[in-house]
Amino acid sequence: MFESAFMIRALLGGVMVSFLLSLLGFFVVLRKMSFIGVGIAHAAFGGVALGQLVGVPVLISATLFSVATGLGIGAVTRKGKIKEDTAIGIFFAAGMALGVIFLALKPGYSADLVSYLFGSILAITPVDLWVILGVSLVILVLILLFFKELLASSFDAELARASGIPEAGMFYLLLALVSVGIVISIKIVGIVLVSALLVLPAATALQWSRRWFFVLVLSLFFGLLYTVGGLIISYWLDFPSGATIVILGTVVFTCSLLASPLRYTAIFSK
Amino acid sequence: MNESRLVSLQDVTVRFEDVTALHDVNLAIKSGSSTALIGPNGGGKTTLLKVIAGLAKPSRGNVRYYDLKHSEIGYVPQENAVDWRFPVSALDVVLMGRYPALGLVRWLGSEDRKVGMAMLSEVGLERLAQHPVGSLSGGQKQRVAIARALAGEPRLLLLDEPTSGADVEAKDNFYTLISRLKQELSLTILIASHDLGVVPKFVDDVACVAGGVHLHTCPSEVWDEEHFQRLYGTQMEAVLHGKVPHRMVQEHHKPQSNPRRSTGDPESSHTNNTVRNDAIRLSKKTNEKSGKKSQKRKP
Ligand SMILES: Nc1ncnc2c1ncn2[C@@H]1O[C@H](COP(=O)(O)OP(=O)(O)O)[C@@H](O)[C@H]1O
Ligand SMILES: [Mg+2]
Repeated sequence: MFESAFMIRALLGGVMVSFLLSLLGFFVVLRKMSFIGVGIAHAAFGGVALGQLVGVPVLISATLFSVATGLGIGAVTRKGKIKEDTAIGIFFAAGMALGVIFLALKPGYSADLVSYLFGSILAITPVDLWVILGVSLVILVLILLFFKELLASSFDAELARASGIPEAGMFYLLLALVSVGIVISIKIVGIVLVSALLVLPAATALQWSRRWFFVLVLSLFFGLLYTVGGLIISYWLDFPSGATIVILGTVVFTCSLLASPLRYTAIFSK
Repeated sequence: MNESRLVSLQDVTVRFEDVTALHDVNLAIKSGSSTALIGPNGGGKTTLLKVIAGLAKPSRGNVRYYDLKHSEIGYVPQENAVDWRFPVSALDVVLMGRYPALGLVRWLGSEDRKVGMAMLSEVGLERLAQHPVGSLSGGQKQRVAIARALAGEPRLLLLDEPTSGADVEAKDNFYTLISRLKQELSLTILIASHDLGVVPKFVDDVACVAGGVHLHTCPSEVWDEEHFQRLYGTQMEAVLHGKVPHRMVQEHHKPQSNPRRSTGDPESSHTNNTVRNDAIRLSKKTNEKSGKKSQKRKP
């Protein structure tokens, strides 16, 4: 299987994307914002369709759409006027609806769009890989720089604010990074499934440890396991790659949940 | 003249949509003082502490900090709506108290860890340092929260009902701990509490918070439980100003030899006055402790 260049590109891209999403997902799951990934990813669909309609690089239009959505959801919920799930539901649908309209405005059929919805490892180009690498490194550096502030804000936002940690800034930073992370991942995993890769690794890791360092390391490990394992299985069984990755993750998560000495059930309840 | 003050509130009013939590509050917190905030539920104790901690904005009036940085305020909330399954150890939580002083981008060093451990042993929890914070008991979590606040090397410590749910002995131990910490670390303390039987023995001043702030001097005789009950009835909710016939002080009587004991008739030593400017006036009188500010802090 490693003879085929597209498979090697898929694996390389998958490794980077899973590393990135697991890292971001660590904070997203701890903050119990898991659902936000779904909202951001679907809003990105509007950006993808807009890019194709007006001929702007899809990466740029989708990034604009999803960052605006992520920060928008954050701002609306933070002001306390609307609950987070309501805001996500609205932004999510609006982004998709815009995408459908842009799609209708564009003459001809967009086969390409389907690959954004469900991911297509065949579509990964060397340029995509460099983009993923570059963006991942920037996000990694930002997270390392602000790690302790992100951790403290995730644990207890009010206390973080009381002690002078720029908690609001950390909230928006995380949302922006998650939005960008999702955009560069959708070509591989797809809009519909990307949020699973954001949530599953950390959710699984939390079944096994109560120490943030181990949870983080385990998140990265499970992310890699799901992506690489899923790609290999999908190659052998000739299954769609994104779906295989998600199903593998779900199976491992479920087993972890059943076998867990800790039962981190907080992910189910707010 | 102002060097003995840490914080003062001038005509502070805090309104939420349809309630006025605090109305025209005037209060000065003197360096080295310890003040208990008592009052009915919903009286505004938490709001007052949040205003001082910078977590709530006054709708009107202002809060002045005298040479007191934000990071020098340690805030221990009433109960934090925290998910205790969060994967951090007791020491991790205490070390979060070091983050602000450390600044962005920089990571914890061995010095920070030393301070964190020292603060954990101050509250008697050094042996549980590596335990997941969620596995500790309620009282232990409370002490972790205090150690976290102390790790930021505060000069002003704000405690919001730190002993709710604890039994009398635990409360007594707790206040003994707080008194010791106050001495060792030269802290100024503001503590919201329902522990009428206990807290007055450990503080210099008692302020009643029921929409506004009313300041009392507090010789221990006045505030022992029996006396308090005779005066106010048994219900905490009875401590509402205006209805209860109690008398006023204009001055902050405090014999230098033994600040905790009153020489006068206990009945005459507290006030019914809504001490609008008294609070500030009092602060100018009692400044014998202000020199402690410069004292070397225990690591
Ligand atoms: N965030 C808020 N939104 C609306 N009302 C609030 C809020 N915080 C406090 N209040 C109201 O302000 C009043 C004072 O509350 P609080 O300061 O918590 O009192 P205490 O701590 O003395 O019990 C109460 O009537 C309470 O309902
Ligand atoms: Mg309260």
